[in-house]
Amino acid sequence: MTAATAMIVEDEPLMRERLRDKLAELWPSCTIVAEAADGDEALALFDIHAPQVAFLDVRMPGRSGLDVAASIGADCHVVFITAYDQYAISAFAAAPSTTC
Amino acid sequence: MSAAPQKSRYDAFAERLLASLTELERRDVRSFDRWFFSEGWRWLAGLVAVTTVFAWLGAQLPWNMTFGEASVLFNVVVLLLVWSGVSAWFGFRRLKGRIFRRVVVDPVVFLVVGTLAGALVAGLIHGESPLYFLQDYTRLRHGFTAGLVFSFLYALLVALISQLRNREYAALTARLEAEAHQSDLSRQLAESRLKLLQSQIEPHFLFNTLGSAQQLAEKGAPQAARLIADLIRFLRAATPALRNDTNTLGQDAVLAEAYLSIMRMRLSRRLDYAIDIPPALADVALPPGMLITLVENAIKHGIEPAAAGGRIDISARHEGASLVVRVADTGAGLGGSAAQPGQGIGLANIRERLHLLYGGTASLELGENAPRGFVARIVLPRADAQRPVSARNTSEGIVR
Repeated sequence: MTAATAMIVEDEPLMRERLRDKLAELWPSCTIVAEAADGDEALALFDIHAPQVAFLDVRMPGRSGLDVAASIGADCHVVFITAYDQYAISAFAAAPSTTC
Repeated sequence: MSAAPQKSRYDAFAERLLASLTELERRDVRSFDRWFFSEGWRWLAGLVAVTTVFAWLGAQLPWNMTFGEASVLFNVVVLLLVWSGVSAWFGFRRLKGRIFRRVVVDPVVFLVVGTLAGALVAGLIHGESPLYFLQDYTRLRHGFTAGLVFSFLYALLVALISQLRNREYAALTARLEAEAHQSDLSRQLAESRLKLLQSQIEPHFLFNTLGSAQQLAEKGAPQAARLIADLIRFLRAATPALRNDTNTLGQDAVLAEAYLSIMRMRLSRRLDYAIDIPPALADVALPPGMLITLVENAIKHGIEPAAAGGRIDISARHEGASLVVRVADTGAGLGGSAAQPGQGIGLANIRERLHLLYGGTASLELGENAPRGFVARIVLPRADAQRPVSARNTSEGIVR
């Protein structure tokens, strides 16, 4: 298994930190190449680092996780992180190869 | 033969008649029916007896009438009056608004027609021309005067009864309508409270708060205990606040403070807040859930969508005859919240409940904050002047 690269996008610092720790624990071969706190920052960092997987929070300042997925969904795998049921459907509509 | 009881012709007739009445009229007719068949007929018999006694007295006067003629005449007149009275009593709706016709036109018409008919009959009996009677000026005058007085009194009685009954009917109808409206209000209020309860504590809020607390705890950070303490404070304040009949501004301030403290830890530098509620206003009654709804909205639609975050200010003041509770944020404002789901439900719920509780005397005012953000103001009548529309009948008491 080749090392995967991932990006974490989450606006709450503690939740971002938690995601980073969990990922390191469950998927040690994955390298986190970028972390963003909102959608605009995520798009900028995506262009620089081109990660294979993006973990996206749905509710974020500025561009939402759904907007980000619509821009980058073709170039990488998107995993949505949300407790909002109502977003799940629009998430699949925005980027079919997603996981919630 | 069918075993079912055959409906008599009278029953069928009465049923049709009752069906054409309003509920109130039916109630009246039924109670009169019961009264008449239990004791009313005795009154009627008594009336006939008394009238007959008067007829006997009348027969003693030099009126040229026998006792038999007098009792028939007296009883017919009295029973006709009673019959008219009862008819007017129950048929008042049909007599409504035609007082002039009843009291002035009808008696004159009846009088003229009656005099002519009487003259005709008298003429036939005595074998004279009806016109002869009309030529007898004295008799005509006496007959006319007596007829006029009688028909006027009769018309006045009918008009008076129908007027009184119509007024009574209108008052009763208005009272029943008011009662129905009142129970409708309580039902709407209960529904609106239920909606509030259902939407109150979001799973998303609990997941993220507990996730953050777990993260802090795993790192051994001292803030973990504080975050959990805040969450406990929030839950403790939220649960009874939604169940209690009375809810104060002070209780709501505790809830809002616990919530903001949690959110500040979760959003770190993006949130700042201040709560300015004078101690004198801590005991002022406030419908439950309204302040926290505004604060949650400020976070969800103001601070969270703004990358730079912002500040939330909560304040309460007496302004003239009003109590004003204000929640202002310097977040994204109206533009930033357009796409957020669930927006407007909380505000609509507040509006609905204010309307149900205070009628037109309370309001929710929304506006832009300067230089950016959003301001929401709940304006209530001052506690010492508060007269909630429906506190009497609902569980959501306002008067403490």
